[in-house]
Amino acid sequence: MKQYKLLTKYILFFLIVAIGFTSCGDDDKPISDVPPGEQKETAIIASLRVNTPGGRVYFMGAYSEIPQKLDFKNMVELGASATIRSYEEHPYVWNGNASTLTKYEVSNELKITVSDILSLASTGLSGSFGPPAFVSKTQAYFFALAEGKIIEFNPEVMTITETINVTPLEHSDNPDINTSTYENYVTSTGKVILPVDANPGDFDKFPQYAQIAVFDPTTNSISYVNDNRMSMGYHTFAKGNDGTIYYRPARNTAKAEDYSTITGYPTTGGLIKVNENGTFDPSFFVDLKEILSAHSVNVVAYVYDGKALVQYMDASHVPPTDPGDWYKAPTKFALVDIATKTFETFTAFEKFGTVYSIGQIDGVEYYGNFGADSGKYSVLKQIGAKEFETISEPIGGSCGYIGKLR
Amino acid sequence: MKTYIVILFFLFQYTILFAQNNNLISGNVIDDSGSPIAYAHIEIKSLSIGVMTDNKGYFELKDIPEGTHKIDASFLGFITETHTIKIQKGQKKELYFSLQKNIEELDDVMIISESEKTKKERTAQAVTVIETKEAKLKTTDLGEVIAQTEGVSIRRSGGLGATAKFSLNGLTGNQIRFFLDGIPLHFNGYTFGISTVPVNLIDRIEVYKGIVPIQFGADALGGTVNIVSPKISVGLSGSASYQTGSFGTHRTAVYIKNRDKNTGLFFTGGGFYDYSKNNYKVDVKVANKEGKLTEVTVPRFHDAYQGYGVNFTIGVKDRPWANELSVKGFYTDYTKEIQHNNLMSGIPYGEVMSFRKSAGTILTYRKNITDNINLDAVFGYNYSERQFEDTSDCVYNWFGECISNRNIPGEINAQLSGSNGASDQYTWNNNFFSRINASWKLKEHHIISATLAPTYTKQTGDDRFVKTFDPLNTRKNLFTWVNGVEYKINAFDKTLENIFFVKNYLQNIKSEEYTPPSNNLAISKRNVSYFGFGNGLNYRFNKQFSTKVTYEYATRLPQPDELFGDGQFILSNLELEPERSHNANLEFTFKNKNNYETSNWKIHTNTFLRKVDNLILFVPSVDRTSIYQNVFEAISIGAELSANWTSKNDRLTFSGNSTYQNFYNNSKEGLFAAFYEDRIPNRPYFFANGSASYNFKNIFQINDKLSLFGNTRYVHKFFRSWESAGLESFKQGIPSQQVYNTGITYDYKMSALKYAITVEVQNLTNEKNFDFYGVQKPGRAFYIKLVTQF
Repeated sequence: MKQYKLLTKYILFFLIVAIGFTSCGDDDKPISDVPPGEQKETAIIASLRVNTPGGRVYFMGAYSEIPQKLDFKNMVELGASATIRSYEEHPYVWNGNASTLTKYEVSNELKITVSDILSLASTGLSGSFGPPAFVSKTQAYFFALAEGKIIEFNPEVMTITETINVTPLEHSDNPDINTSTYENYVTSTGKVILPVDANPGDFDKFPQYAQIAVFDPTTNSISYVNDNRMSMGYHTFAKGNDGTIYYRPARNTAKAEDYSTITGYPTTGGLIKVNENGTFDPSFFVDLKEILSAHSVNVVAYVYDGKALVQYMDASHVPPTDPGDWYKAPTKFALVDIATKTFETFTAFEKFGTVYSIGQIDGVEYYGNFGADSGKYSVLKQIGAKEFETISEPIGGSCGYIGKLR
Repeated sequence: MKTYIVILFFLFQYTILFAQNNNLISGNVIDDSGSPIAYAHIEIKSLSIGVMTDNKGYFELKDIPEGTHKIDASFLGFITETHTIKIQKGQKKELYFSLQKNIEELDDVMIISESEKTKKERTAQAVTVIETKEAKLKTTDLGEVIAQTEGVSIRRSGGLGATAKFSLNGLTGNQIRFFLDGIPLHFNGYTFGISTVPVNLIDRIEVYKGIVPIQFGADALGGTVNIVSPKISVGLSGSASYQTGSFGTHRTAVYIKNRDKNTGLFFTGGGFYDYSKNNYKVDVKVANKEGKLTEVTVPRFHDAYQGYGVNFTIGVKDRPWANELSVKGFYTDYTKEIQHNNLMSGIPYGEVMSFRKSAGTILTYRKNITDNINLDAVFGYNYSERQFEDTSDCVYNWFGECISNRNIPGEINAQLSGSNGASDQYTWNNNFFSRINASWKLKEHHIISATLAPTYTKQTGDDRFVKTFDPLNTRKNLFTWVNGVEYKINAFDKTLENIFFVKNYLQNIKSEEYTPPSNNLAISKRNVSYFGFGNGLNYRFNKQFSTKVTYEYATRLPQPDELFGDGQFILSNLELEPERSHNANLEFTFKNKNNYETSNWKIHTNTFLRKVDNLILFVPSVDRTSIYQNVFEAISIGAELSANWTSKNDRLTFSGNSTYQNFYNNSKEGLFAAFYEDRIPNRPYFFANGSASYNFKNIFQINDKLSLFGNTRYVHKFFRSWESAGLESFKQGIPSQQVYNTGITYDYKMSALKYAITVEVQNLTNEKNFDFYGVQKPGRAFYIKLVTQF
């Protein structure tokens, strides 16, 4: 009897110790500045790309709302290579030079601190191959499809979970074709879709099909889906204000088209809707080049209330003899009504120079710019198909990313 | 009869009447600093025999009769020294005289010959001359030698052969030009930069700050550095050196020259071989399979450097038809392993390589056409090849292990997506150049000079992995013609010298490439012409105090890559304007009187201004629309101070210098307007050097010297980005650092040969030091160097 009592005491003792160690493990995690139970204040992050004589340097700041002036003085310096994204309450910064993903904390007082760092050096991956896709708190992925690798990691503890070997992206190892992916889209079905782009070294070899890569986290498998209605497009989708994603044209292909000798290829100026399950919508196709009677379509910036903003070279365009000068050729903007196949001239961006998407907050799209005649930088909030509100002036550089943490 | 006897006596006074024998007394005469005394008088009064030392202080007395003799060595300004020597039949004996200065005599009759350094620094040009006599005995390379000069900053990304960024008063890169004997350095085969030029093959370095003399025929914005080869004196001479030490370093250089006084024929030959593994230890972060980083200290494993070269010159001097006519040929070859990206972060490289080769020839002709007209002409051709190889599919870790293989070869990933892949890129240059300088002495103290300096470069290239449209195949032709006219006046008994000059810059650029789909030839051209001018004034108030004021409106022409882009990621910009700068210097020099009873000191100050406009900058963009643009203006204001002190007998020497340069952004509009008046980022702005040495003489033998030396360099911390940008706690910067070197040199003479052995410790305190953010330089290193000269 005595022995059993002693044994029980020992078992209880070990249980208590085990519970104690478990709770210690929780204490080792970074502690938020926000005490439990306290209401968390809104936190928005914005990044600046600042030019210096030695190259570009990135900065990031945290705000309760987007300020009228985004000032570099109070931002955090991120370094020369930074791809910024946010997921739930944390900003994540991918540094392609260092091959690291840094997770940050933003306190209620909007103070930014480093929370943890994940390195991909052991996988051999570095450079700029696209930001991570966040599927859940504990599940995120880096896609290096040219290498045939997908790196699964746990954002909560910032460790690599698994290196998944997949079929490499076709033609990614062929410099004459040079396919690649960059941006990723996590759909409501849980799949991750990546549009495929090409930068052909041989202008006759641009792929004559649209393509997306579809990753299924439940099976850890990737499939490449083609559509022959248009030639290869861009590595980011055009987004609709209703959440729809569209496979859109790319400058690389439009340029290759101008210097190629091939004929009989599908249009390079198409727009195809992509379904959430990772398929091209067979009932949706718009030939923007035909609608605009354009020489080529370079970019589709967005689709808003059924209208697509298109940047194009009109029929009078003559490709310069030197392909290196192709990007300097003048372009025009038009708002194309997808349903009626009509278009109107669009001038709202003219004074801003080059305009690009920088992120969404509460379903509203935001844009940044550079190259304005005034030399000023702006953050634009989209409020209509052709209506934008300038809500902030970045000082010292263009805005690269905007996101809401909470 | 008596008359005949007297005549005979005088005739044979200095004639050896004794029977011929093989007895020989030889030796050297030196001063108390160990320097040879040429043309000193060696005499055996009792035998009425006398000779003079040669230009190396060497003498021989032949056929001396047996017996004991007193031998005197004397020279103007020195106390005569007497040695007694006993010589027997067939003996050969050596004697060494170390003469002490005669202070009383010096003040009256001493003729002090000016060194080339002094002559040059006395002109109205803004120049600092660095002599390499001491540096040749030490183990530091040329880059470090130059970096110890005020106003000069050299930033290196590693050990021997690493990229070195040179800056003068804040200006850097293409804004500074480098020359060897007035010819662009890369046209002389030194395509790997100034740090790899062997110190033992040069005589001195001239650093021109802000003002570029017309004879260089160059478009430089911030100044020039001219390396000067040794003069070719009569007779056979030469040197050889070998250095070895830490990190598998081996450096050797040989140089030989011979000139025949009678025929004027001369020959020089030189060669060098450098190798270093550069496997010094660095602190890096290594990731485990879970992606967690651990800091480790590992040796670099792929950073080796090898460079070798040969050169020869044959010619004639001092002929009626030419002061010099010579032909030089050279060949150099460099191989460098590349260990990491420019931040030393992330995944290291294990097989990326850079190769450079160069060969060429230079024809030189100099002639004093009349007493007042001189002509100096140089014509040359140079071929160079650069290769960059990145073909491995291995993924390396910092332990040098290949841990996996990539699907796509090529260790360096481009920053833009869609541009991965292996590279094996070649660039070939054919360079033709000429420098023609003519000067005409109008009358005493008035000289007009003119320079014509045309240069033609033809460049093309190839990426062996690109089979179709390859932008490297573009043929780029660059013709630059820089002309200058200079008017020099020496007045008031040479206390005042003024140089006024005007320059003209002509540039003709053409780019040709065959473009798809029809292989059409696309041609881009540009012709431009600009003017510049400047003035330099030097005034000597007295022997102790002088001042110099210089100014130039300088120009730097855009280079082909800046104008034409690369056809792939960088757009062309034929509208690029040249960079322009107003450069001004105000110098004061103070020194004590030449007085050998006391120590010597010298203080030199320089305040400078560089106001630069239209600085050309690479402006990155998204996709493939990056471009070079004239984007900003900047001002550099600063001051340099240098001082040195030498004890009475030249045993103890201290020297130091410091530089403060406030190089700030002056752009009120454009890309950098938000940072108006911010210091230009990523450049050191305060740095200082100090050195001390002590000489022990006649330690083991009468003509030897033991030198203890030490030097230190301090660089104050500076930020990588704009000072006003970002929170202080997150700002990335290069911390303040101070590095110490110390060593000991023992040199001695044996017959006509001089030997020196040096043992040196660099970075004595093993300071973790950086010139570029994140890129660690070598820690403590030990070297030994042997030098011989004859």
